[in-house]
Amino acid sequence: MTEMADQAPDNRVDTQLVYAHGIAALVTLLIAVTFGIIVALQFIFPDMTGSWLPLGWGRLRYAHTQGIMLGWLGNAFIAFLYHAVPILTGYRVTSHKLGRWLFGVWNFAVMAPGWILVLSGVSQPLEWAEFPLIVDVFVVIAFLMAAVQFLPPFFKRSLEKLYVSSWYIIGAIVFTLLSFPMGNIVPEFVPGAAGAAISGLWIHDAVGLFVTPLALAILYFVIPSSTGRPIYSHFISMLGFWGLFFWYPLNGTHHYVFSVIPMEAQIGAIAASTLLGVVVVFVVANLMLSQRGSGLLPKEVGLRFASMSVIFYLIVSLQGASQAQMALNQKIHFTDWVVAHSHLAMLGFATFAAIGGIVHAWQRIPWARYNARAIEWAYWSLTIGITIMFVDLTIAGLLQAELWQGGAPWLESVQASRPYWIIRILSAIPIGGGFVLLLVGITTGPRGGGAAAIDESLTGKPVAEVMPERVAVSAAVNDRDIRPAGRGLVMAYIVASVAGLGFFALSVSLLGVWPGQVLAEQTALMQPEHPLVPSASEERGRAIYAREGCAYCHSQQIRYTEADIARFGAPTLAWETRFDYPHLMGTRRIGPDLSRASGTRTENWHFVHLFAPRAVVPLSVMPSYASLFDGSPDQPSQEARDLVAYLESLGRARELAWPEGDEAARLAAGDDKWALMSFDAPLLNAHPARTRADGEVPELGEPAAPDVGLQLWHDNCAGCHGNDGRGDGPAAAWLSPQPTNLAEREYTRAQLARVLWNGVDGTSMPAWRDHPTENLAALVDVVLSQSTMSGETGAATADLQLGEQVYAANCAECHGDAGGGDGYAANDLPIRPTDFRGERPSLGESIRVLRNGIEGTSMAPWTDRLNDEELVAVAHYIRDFFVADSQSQGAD
Amino acid sequence: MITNFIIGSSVILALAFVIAWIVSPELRRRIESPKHAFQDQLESYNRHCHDEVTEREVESNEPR
Repeated sequence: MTEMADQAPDNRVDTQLVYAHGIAALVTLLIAVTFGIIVALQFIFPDMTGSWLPLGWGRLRYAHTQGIMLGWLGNAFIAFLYHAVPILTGYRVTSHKLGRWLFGVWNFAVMAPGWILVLSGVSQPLEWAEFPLIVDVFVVIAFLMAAVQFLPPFFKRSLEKLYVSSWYIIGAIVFTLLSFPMGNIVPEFVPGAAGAAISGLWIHDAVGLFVTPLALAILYFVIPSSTGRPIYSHFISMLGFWGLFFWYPLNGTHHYVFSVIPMEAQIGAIAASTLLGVVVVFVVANLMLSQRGSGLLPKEVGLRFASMSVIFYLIVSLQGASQAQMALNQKIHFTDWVVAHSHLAMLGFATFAAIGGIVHAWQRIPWARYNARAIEWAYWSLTIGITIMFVDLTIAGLLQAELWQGGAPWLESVQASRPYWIIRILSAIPIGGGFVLLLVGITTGPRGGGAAAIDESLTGKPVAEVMPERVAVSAAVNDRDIRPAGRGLVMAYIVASVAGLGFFALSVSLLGVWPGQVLAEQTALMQPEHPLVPSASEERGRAIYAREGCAYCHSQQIRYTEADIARFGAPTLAWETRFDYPHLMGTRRIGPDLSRASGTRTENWHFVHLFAPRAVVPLSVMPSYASLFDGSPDQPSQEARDLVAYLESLGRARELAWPEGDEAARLAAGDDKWALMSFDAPLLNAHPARTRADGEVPELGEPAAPDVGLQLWHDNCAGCHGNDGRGDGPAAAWLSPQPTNLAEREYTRAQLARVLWNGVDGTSMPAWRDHPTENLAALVDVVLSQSTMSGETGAATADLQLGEQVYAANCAECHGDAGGGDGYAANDLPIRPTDFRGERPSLGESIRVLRNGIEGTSMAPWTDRLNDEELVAVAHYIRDFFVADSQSQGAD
Repeated sequence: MITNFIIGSSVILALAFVIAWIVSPELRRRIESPKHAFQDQLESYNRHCHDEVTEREVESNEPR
């Protein structure tokens, strides 16, 4: 027998710790999945948890991802390490006592406080790094403990005797110890895009250096153990190991393709992503060939989970390599495609590998209960659920990409996504059910019930029978290698360590440090002479924005793509993010990008939108933040004020620097074609809802079908103007000025076209420039049909004469001599006076306005200066300015 | 530059593996040996677990 067999680790596995971490893994998984299901439900029922912030979308989303990665996968991997390390090395892990401490730290110093803090609002807004820094310290301590617990047994063996799973385990622990602090701590101290470059590395390192190596370690362990035969090629497996550890860390920047991060780094990451896809094909081919003879659907359920994990790994890796390519990335980035991808990686590939590992270990714990039927059902339930979710979200992503590229109104993509979001919720039934069945499977049934699976592997053909020559070679090599560890062993470890650490250092240097330097240089060159420093209120607002996970729905980076420039404006320059500690660039857009939110909406609109999002945007899926108010949007707390102050600051620095600042920056940029792309953007802020005091209005042309107009009305206008246009929608009472009562007015088509195209500057009435003109024409028809004024008769001549005098003396300075809203004082008013040539209020409405004024505008009550006779006279007079469409057509 | 470096070093890494594989039969034997040694160890462990479970079953079925 060989040296390993001599060491016969029969009873060296610490089954108590395998069991403890296995159960903890399932429990944390069920909690994390519950968070995920609530998050998914909130897309359809945004108000289901009220506005109670601890159950707000953002906080739950933070808790969900950290729960899956650290709670579920972390515990599952540790459980498997307790099973695998003694078998791989022939030595026990370092200490049972240390194991109990590690269990305690992992679950009671990391998971429990991490969740409590995140749900309480103490977190950091970084993907896969949402637990706050204090918890990160304990994560590092836990990894150090894991290193002490699991690594020493490996170092008692020579490198060339290490099986591939051992390599992956060593690599995962060592590199996570390096990459975790980098990704979790550095972005707190490196601002904006430079911090994002580091953050991007961690996003991929979390998957590539922690999850994937340990999942592959499990697959390379479970497959030969279950089939009873060695893997197909240890050479290919090692090629894969070194390939993965070389290329994975170089992928990170592909999360920020078309961003301001230097294009050189982006293209490098794309090249590495492509090469990674190639190497994964080799890894998967090796794993599949290692299962030869087991059939497409292996009988042994642990192997079946492992086998499905291999298939998921192939799909997700090829998908990852393809979505990093610029042609695809510019379309699908920020969409549900990416959400599908990450779920396939974590819930498909990694979770199936982890379950395969746990089930495999459970079968070998003589005293553990094992319910084979429940685990069998769990397999089918999970496979079906995850497949549905992946396909569903991938299609949703393609649909969103299509709509975004085509310039469709943002809410159209939200509306189109709803059926897919419902299907995602339904997919949670088999997924959640599968996990419950798995928990049932490892906690019920007879003790030692998994032994039947061991029978399967033992009845496989012996290695000597399958590959006699290789066994002979193996024995010969091992016989020669039975010698004490000496300098050669030490040197081999040093060489491997230097190579591995070199790969990691290379990735951080090329894709983290160097881009940071370039961005710092760009910032110094292009920033305004006197940068606009955020106020204390804006800083506090930023912290609230980060705390509530707003960046997970609203990106803050306008990419260097045509679609982004057309929809949002000039791409984000490096200096625009220089005060962002940590960055809030985001990786998903459920709502629109907010880089240039400044000046797009009124403060009043923001308050109402935060308090009751669907009051002003009926189709919105944004959760309510009513708890930031004292019962009403007009009673915002300091936090609400700070948050709105922050929103209104987004993009302001560039806006104030423009155009002079941009010209200076353009000169500094030289021939940097990406910077020039930002300077040459047609509009700095292209937000289609941004109001304009003046602006060209296109001919609306023939209207779309009437039902299109009605649908538009209900989806976009009814929240403020009410179902019948009477200005009594749910948001009306909170807005200042209040929405116009359209039923009490008649309009010309041109006037309505102007209002729809440019909005009403200074009010909450936005522009609707992202809608097709024929749809806006249909909407014009709806508004015209809401008027109840057709029967009103004209005024007496005497009234008109008095009205003319009163108007000239009191109204013309604002409304203009001819009632066009263009008096000499008009330009100085925050809201332009009404143009009576295009809009005619009813007589009653005119008198009401003259008596009461219009709150929130410069139109004051006139009862203290005009008597009743004068009020009525001028009310008649202003109505006479109106030039109805029929009149203007007649004149033509 | 970064892209050239990544692709160049990737090619060198892959070539180093493949050339070593082609030119050194000894390496081929040594690099494949861990999987066989691991298989022996697995088999031994699986057999041990199987026996332990069987023993427990026998103990629990014995009349008291």
